Amino acid sequence: MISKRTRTAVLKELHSNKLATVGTALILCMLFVGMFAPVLAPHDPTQQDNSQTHQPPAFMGGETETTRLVDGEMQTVTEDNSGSLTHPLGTDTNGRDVLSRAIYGARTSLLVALTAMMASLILGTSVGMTAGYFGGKTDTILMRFVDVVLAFPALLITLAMIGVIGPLTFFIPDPFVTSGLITDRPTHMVFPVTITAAIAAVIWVWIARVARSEAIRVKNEEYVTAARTMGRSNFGIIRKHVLPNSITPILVLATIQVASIIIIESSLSFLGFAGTNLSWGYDIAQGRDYLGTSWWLSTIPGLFIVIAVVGINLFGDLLRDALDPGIDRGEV
Amino acid sequence: MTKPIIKVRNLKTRFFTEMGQVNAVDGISFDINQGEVLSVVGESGSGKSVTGLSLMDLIDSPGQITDGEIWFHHPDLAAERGAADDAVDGEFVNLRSLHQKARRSLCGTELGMIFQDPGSAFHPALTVGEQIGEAVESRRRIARGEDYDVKEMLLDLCSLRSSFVSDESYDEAIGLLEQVDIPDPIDRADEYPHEFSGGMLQRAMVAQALASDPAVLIADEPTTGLDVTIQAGIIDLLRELQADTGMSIFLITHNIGVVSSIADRVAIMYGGKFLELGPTDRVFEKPANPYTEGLLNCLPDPTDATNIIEPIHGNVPSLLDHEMPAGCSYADRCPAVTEECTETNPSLQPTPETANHLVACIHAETAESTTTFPVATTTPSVLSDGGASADE
Amino acid sequence: MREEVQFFVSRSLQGIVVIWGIITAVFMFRFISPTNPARLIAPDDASEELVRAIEIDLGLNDPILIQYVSYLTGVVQGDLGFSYSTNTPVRGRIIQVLPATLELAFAALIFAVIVSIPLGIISATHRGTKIDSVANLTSLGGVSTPNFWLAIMLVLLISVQLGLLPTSGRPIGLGEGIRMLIFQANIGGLTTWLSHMILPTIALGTYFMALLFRLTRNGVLEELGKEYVLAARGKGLPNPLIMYRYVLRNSLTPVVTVTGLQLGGLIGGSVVVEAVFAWPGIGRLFITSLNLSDWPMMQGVLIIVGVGYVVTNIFVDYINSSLNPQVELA
Repeated sequence: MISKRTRTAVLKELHSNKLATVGTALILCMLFVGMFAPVLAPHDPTQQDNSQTHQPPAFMGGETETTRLVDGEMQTVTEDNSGSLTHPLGTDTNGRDVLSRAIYGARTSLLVALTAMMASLILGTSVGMTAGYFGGKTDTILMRFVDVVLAFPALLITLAMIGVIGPLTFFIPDPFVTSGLITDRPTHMVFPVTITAAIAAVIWVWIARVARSEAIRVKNEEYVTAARTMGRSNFGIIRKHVLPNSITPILVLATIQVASIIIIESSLSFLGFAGTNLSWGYDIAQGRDYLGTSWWLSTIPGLFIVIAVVGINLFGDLLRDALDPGIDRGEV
Repeated sequence: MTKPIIKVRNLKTRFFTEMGQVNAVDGISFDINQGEVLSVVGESGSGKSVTGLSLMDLIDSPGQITDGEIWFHHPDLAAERGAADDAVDGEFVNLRSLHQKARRSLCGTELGMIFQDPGSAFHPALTVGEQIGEAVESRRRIARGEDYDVKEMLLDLCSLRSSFVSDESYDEAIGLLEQVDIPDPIDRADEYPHEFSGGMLQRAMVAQALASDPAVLIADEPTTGLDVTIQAGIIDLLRELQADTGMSIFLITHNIGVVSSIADRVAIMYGGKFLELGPTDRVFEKPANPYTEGLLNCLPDPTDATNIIEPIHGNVPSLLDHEMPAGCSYADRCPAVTEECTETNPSLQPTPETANHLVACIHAETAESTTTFPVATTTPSVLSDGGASADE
Repeated sequence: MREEVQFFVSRSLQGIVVIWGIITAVFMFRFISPTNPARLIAPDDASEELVRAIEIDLGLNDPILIQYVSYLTGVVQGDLGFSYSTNTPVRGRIIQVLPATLELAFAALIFAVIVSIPLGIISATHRGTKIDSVANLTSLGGVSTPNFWLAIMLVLLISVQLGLLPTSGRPIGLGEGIRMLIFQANIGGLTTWLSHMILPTIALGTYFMALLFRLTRNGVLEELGKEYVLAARGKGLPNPLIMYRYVLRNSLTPVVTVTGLQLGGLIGGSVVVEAVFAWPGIGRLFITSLNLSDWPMMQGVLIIVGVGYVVTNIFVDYINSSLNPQVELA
């Protein structure tokens, strides 16, 4: 599917553009972290430890005054609050390791983003190709439907879809734990079906729009006319000619949209619709109550989101510059 | 004796690209005389358009004029700045040492430019009348000594419906359209560029260049892309206007037919340098440089069917600095090439018979060591004789 | 003028089709959602008969077509139904909270436009300089930062650490503030309003600002390379005039388009920002209703937002066609 020319163009751009290299590295990093989360995480992200709450990150030092329950009484105590390497990025209010949670959060984000992207890619390409290739009434009806979905802000309609679908989660056994390679880690990955489906149900319209305009462009090319006069079926023409010649911009858009999906996903988990508590947005929401004392609780998962999204955006810019698919940053 | 209006000395324009440094204009020197048509002929990529843009100071990054002087005959400005100024030499002012704003003002009052493709040189969303009117208005405001800066722009932005162009300027623009023989100028002024035909738009372009009432008109390929009949019309128009206003025309073209019909003098440009410069009929009758000869041999002769066209073999040389040959840039295509040609870089020298016919070729007969371009004594950078040497 | 009437008529007809689609979609949402409104309204210990009775009362047992037609006629007449949770008219509640969201969205829009366009122009005209690099990196950060996290960081830094601005809430609306200024000559209302507006505005507007910055910069860069800009310099026009009349005109087309499209995005973004700042707007109303499965309220919000989007876009297309006469109206 990826032609040699495409590959050369991407590699050339990668060579001449330092930021693009950074972006690609960030994406690879994130994929790696997400995939090998059980191996990389220093602790079980769900393990609570009441003796180790609100530990600051390792680079922090010093003492702080905190008010907490001591021997059944609220007391202000001065305690040694310097970070330790056991919990490099500190612990949360239940004593869970922030770094491990962030690593597992990457996994959730990736799971949601990639699944939602694939689903919307398939749906959007099918609808867009059909509308663009056949034109006429089919086009009008399908595109009016797309217009309707586009009329709602992505986040709002995703939330409405969550209301429609209801809470659904799916447990996937973690291959590292079930195979016995790693112990002391959660045995299952939580796959938040609801938000994935809700996001895919919204994102696909953007793909559909690009797929449609590409299909219209390609179907007027002479080789398509030639194929038609030779009596190829419409489906055959779409599969053999239209799809391969219009896939580049669609894939570029899909890449850029992964960034939007990650942001929507974290927003939804922030609002409490995640379906899992191993999510960056969820941790940010939890840390909000301790902004004055434990600033790192909200800050660190957020930084992970920013780094991931920066990586995808840089990579998307790279693809766009290298392949010049002529799509604007329409955005959701 | 004709008086020069522009004296160009050792002009060098470079482009700093990813591929390397491109010497688009590589140290050329010439004069444009008052009221003459000087034509520059060359193949695509010989640097002739860049020469025109350099005269207008329209070279953009990654390009830059790196060296040389452009002396413009402007007694008022020279007097205003005083003779002690480095940028002043008698009645001439060195355009390169002027500030950007003063330089721009000169474009609006003394120099005019016709672009190759009028379709892209007019803004598609403004009417032709408005765009010409802007040029008129701009000249008038400069003449009145008015300034237009960010403050004025913001005021314009805030006051709805206000226009930069005054009614008088707009009327003058209509007059200019009439002057370049556009029928119904009042109606056409209100039309957008895409409603014009190519030839009409080129006429409008001429009108726009005239709006600044220029002493020198720089015409960059004004007839390329037009039908032959329309080409002739534009050339006739330029000739008429030149006769009426007495302005000088710096005509950039690759069409030798156009040159012979309008130009007083012609310069042959190749590889960023002038290879020959002289009166048109003289150069075409007795070309002193093999390249000029080659160019002329490429022309079909309609009166002689047996005449065989001889193309010049090979390609235009690369202008990349590191790929430029040490010697004559035409050496690898020249039929008369000798070993010496690849080593020494020839400079423009007068031919023995005619003092104002110059040639850059080591094999051409030249009158020995006469200073072709006397250099102003006040200028710090003194040119070598001939002025076309490419050494850095 | 005739062209303009034609434009608005034909676009309005298209818009009406989309709005009809919006209402239908919104109706379908409630219809296929798993919640039974009768159970929501009925007390927890209600008998089956009572629930049944409420179902009949709400018309839930009618054929779907009848329910649909009655909902559609209701909406067309401006009746958005009654809230399941409070049993008050949805329209009244939305009108009550709408100003808070609109104030925030417009403030964010103005903030974004005022910062991004000049910055985009400066960045493009100073391409490759330090200013350009810094602006580019900032905008990369801007499009990559989730607004709720930015909001929390702003609160952490400016409210918690520096104690400069209030952390949350909207004690007073703009209208009330102006009224206080006029009738009581008290500027306190407005300053309170302003101090509560600043952080939410920045949090909501930053992404949008970064986006517009990119569009402006790219647009200006593209235009600066055009031959007509060169020609304009050749005829001696001063730089500010060239920027305003030649460069911005075309390069602002995508900016205007995206501004229109993003108004919807701003309302969407306000859902999360409102949650952070306890802002009593339409986003918070939506979240509350979602948690209560209060479908009529959610439907009302969706319809208002969707219709707003459609109307805005008709105007955006009109502005673009008047900026660029080559784009024919209609």
